[in-house]
Amino acid sequence: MKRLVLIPLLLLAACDQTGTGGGTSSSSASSSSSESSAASSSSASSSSESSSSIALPDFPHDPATQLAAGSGSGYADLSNWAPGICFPLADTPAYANSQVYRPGGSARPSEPSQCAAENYSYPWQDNFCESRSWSNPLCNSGQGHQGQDIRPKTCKSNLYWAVAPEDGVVTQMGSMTVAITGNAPPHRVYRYLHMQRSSLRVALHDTVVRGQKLGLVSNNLGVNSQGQQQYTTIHLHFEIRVGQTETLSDGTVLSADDFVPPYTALVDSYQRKLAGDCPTVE
Amino acid sequence: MSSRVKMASAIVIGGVLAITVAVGFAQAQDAKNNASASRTTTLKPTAVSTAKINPALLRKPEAPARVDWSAAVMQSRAAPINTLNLKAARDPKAPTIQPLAARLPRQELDKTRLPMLMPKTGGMIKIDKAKVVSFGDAYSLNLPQDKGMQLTLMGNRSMIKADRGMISAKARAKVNGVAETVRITKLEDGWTASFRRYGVLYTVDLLCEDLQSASCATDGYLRAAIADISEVSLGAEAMKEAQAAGVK
Ligand SMILES: [Zn+2]
Repeated sequence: MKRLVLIPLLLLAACDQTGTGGGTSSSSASSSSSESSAASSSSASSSSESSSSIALPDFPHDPATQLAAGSGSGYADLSNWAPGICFPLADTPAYANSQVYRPGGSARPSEPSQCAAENYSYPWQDNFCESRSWSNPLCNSGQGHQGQDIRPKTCKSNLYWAVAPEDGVVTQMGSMTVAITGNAPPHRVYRYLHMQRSSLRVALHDTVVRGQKLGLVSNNLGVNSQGQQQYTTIHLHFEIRVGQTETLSDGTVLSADDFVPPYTALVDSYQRKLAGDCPTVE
Repeated sequence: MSSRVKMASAIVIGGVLAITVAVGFAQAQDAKNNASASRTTTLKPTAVSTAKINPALLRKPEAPARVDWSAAVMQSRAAPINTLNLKAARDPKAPTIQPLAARLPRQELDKTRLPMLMPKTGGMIKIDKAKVVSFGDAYSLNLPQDKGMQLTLMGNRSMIKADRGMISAKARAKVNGVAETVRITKLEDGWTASFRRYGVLYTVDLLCEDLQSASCATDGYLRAAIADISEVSLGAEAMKEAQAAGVK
């Protein structure tokens, strides 16, 4: 049984800034739409004249922090670290789930096809902090997957567009990576991995607007020492990194730039996407 | 945009959204049906909706961090080796621009309201293809290196309050030649390090085309690079703020 979730949606972001190319803050993640029902009543100053309660479609998704069985000890943080972002893929449906603990992944060797229906089905499943050797302070074990993996609409490489999450600037272009730094504080860094290099529509330090096409999602895993192309499953690895600060009892202030769990922000962005937020910008 | 136009736009977009809600809902429903038909994929009940999230969990940035302008200005004047800095030595209000920064667009430097940490002149980091972009209270410097590697240096005054222990209780490294402790993390495509200096958060990313190469297999190259990132430049806005903070 499907439920509809009533969330007041702030509409100014969509009408004022999206697609202008020069917008700097009001349509970006920290100040734009759908910062939850509670937030809109108190913190969003423009809500009185511009908000409207509409029904956002819910969709089947496991809760944040609930990883695939046996895939690690996970994490505990339910925060939305990037309220109001655009869902990073232009086409729906898309499927957030593990690339390792599913068919085609190394933990399921008896089911070699990454195109198995199970992979292209709801419900979504969180895989931030899934077992990996990389350090990740937010994971209970201190190490784990640093982003959320998302499969595009179908099991086809180089067909589906990744789009910008908020207004920002392209600050990294690697062999399989595009990073966007948000214009608005806290200047989150969103990293998109496994992009098809030749399809990229942006260059280093280009400005982008939320929903703007960046490049095609692929299975690109870079090249090895012999120059040979390496491959992964067809998916977008989506990371969010946020500068954080902690003040100790003696007044010492520490700061670090850490990965944060994207899942909660992605669920919210996907619901808005299904409701028509974030039209694709060419 | 006037408030009346905003209202009108809101109403129109609201209508469009109401329609697209139905479309989106149908789309989601279709996918669900496909999934059900395909195999034993379990369609568990939807559990957490973002609408239920405590507003305290919507992470908002704090006010821009207070900069230790005194220390930053002192370091920026440590190497007055080009003409701009000679001028700075005579005029305390003049921006202090180190050699690498002098090659970058002055407009980007001048609007940056924080100390711009950059690689030292003549060090291990190649600076010939450096490019910078400023966000006002943050900047990002891109530095292509040899063999498909690139360094990205970001300075940022805007941070979110971390939960207690999320930084202090987690691993931080000592790096030779660097006073601060440094968070060092391996990435899927390289390495990243971050530390706090002058009250500002600095992040250095190393992206590698070949993760097995000598410079990318360990964090050794990144550590050496961090130690080499020691010059400070202050553009016009930063110098104005330093002056307002009483720095002579
Ligand atoms: Zn991944």
